[in-house]
Formats: sequence, structure tokens, C-alpha cells
Amino acid sequence: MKTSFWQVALVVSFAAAGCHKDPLNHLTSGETMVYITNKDSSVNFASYKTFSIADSADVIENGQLVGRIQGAFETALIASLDSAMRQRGYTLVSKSSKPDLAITITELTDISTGYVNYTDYWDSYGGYWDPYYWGYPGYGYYSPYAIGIYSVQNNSLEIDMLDLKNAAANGNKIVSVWSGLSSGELVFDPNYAATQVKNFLGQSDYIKAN
Amino acid sequence: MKLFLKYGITALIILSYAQAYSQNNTQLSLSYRVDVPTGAFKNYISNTAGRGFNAGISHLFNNQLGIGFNIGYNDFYQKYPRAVYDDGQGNLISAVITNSLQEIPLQAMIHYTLMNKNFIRPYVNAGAGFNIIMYNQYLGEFSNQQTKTKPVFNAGAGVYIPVSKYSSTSINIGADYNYAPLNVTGIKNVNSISIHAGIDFPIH
Repeated sequence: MKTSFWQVALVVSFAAAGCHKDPLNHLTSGETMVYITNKDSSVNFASYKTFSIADSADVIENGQLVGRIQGAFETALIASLDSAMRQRGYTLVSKSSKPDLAITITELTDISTGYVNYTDYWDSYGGYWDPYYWGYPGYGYYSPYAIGIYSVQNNSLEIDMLDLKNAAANGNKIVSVWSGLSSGELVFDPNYAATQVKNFLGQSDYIKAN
Repeated sequence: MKLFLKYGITALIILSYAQAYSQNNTQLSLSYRVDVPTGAFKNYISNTAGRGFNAGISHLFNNQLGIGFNIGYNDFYQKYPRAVYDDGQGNLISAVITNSLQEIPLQAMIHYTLMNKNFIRPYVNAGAGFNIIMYNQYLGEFSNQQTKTKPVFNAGAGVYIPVSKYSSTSINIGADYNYAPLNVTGIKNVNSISIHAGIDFPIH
């Protein structure tokens, strides 16, 4: 039996449509996380001995400060930072005791929104749902709304270390000497706070008091 | 995926006209394809790609020479364990990197059967055309997809094994070397050795 070209083409097309391994379906939640760190290359972190951590996190949405938060995630993160810095030889002091380093936490959220115009869809609505179905044969449809709204939210965590010790010597400026940025599925998960700190400081071996 | 449908539909339209014009001595070839990266491509993805296929149509001038058109596809994928990378601008980046690349070669092909009086008939083939390359590097869940269209050339050999003594349908097993130039950051050429196994049969 000879085969039709279009019979074969249809089979091949359907087979090919499924032949792609989607990387996002093969990542664990932890594997979605990305950590970026940067430091002031002129700084000797062994010159600092004491530190203090802000008691809450700033929340910045689309570039605007919307408030401060001290929830389960922030509490877990502050505790992990405290522990990690002490292990590296630094001493935690209150902010009134003139610490050498200040650590701040910022939660960044960018929300982008868009719209989809469904005019074509609504123009043909009678073809999908005949008004007869509702008991109104011969009626038409009218919709004042032809717009669908969607939003995409991107969350990131930033931790900054600020040089208070040399603020006066730096021309009355508080200089950021280290920054860590993370993003991914678990970025604000309280159970993942310690892992994030471990990753941040794990790629920053130079942060040690002696 | 959208690009695959766009170019795939275009290729199907071309193939259908070729088949209609040819009328007689038209052969369709369908095969499963596995690609092994070679050369510098292995620095980007070294894993063998096993989600591929070839589909081709050719006009047979006689028992030996055929000229036609082929569309191929394969999907390369490799995930690397978490590591720390220096971007050269003072940033250290810790991420699980996944490299993903799909290629769709669209080629004119020629094949020549040797020892055509034997039951099992070896052949040689060559092709040239263009290659649609979609590549994407994921840092964690963050990606950056790019698409390039570049020339592609291949040459290979194989055997036809008829399914029976009186049948014009054959099993086709062969291998090709694919030269697929590409020069973008992180990827230099996507050359590979492909092995295929499938079936060739007449169509109307």
C-alpha cells in the first residue's frame, strides 16, 4: 500500500512537537537559585572586628520603598547572618556601640503588568456559546470588556555590608564594601534562609576577622 | 517551538510541491536520529542528543542516484552542577547552569547507491543548506534564548536493507558528519556525528 505524503507529514509533525527537554522542568527549587556577590577590592575585611545587623528588611517594589518587614523569613535570615559572621571571628554589637560593619537586608520586587486584547475572541463568542444554550435563541452577545490583564513578579534579596568604621575618613560617606544578590524560587522561603547565607559567604572567603 | 512550527510548515509545503511534481520514483525517508557533539561543541554540551529525527523526500533518477530535500531536528541538553563563576567584572555568580540547544537543518541532499544489484546496498550522501539554531543558557531559572540561522553541510554513508526481496521499502541505517558553523559567546560551531535508523518507502 502506498502511503500519502500528508499522512506521514502529520505523524512526523506531532512527534516532533514533543521532542524538547524543557530545562525548567528538570530543576529542583534549590537549583533555580542564583547568587551574585561583589566586593570592594581595596578593602581588607580583617580590619573589621565588630558588626551589627538591621532588625528588619526594607521592601522595595518597582524601585519605591514601600515599608519594612520583620517576619519569619527575615528573622531566620538575621539569625543565620549573625551565626555565620561570628564563625568568621566577628563580634555582634548593638548599633549604638559603633560597630565597624553594618549589615542591611533589602527585598526587591519588580512587578510588570501587561494586557491582552481579546476583541477577536469576543466578536466570535456566539460561535462558541450559542445563546440558544441559555434559552435565548436569536439573541447576540455584548461585552464591554475585551481586555485581559496579567502581571509577572520577580523577587530578589540583597544583603549589603557597609563600612561604618571609616565613614569619617571616607569623606563622611558610608561605603558599601560587599553586596550579595539572590533570586529564584526559594528567595523568601524561611526554611532556605540559612542556605542562602551559606552560599553568599561560601563564595566570599575573604570575609573574616583574622 | 514557534520557530520549529514556522520552518517545519514551510518545509512541508516545499516537500509537498516536490512530491507532486515528481509523480513517479518519489521516495520518503523517515528516521530516528542520534547526534554526538564533536570538537568545540563539547565545551558547551557534551551529552549525546537522542531526541532527533530526519525526514526527507527524494526523486530517484535511476537505481542509484537520488536528489531531494531533508529536514532534520535534534535537541541537545546538559545541566551542570552548581559552581561559582567569575564574570570578569568583579562579580562571582553561583548558579546551576543548563545549556539547551535545538537545531533544524534544512538541506538539499544527494545520495548515490553503490552495488545496487546486491540485496543490502551501501550508499553515500551529501547535503548542504541552512541550519536554524536555537540556543539558551539557563542560570538557575533565568534564561537568555537566542536564535541564529547559519549554513550547514554534511556527508555520510549507510546501507539500504529491503524489507523483502520484492519490496521497494527499505530499512535505512547510516551515519553523517555534520559541519554546522556558529560563532557566538560560549559556543564555537555545533558540529556533530549523527547516526540514523529509519525507513525509506515510495509515496504517491
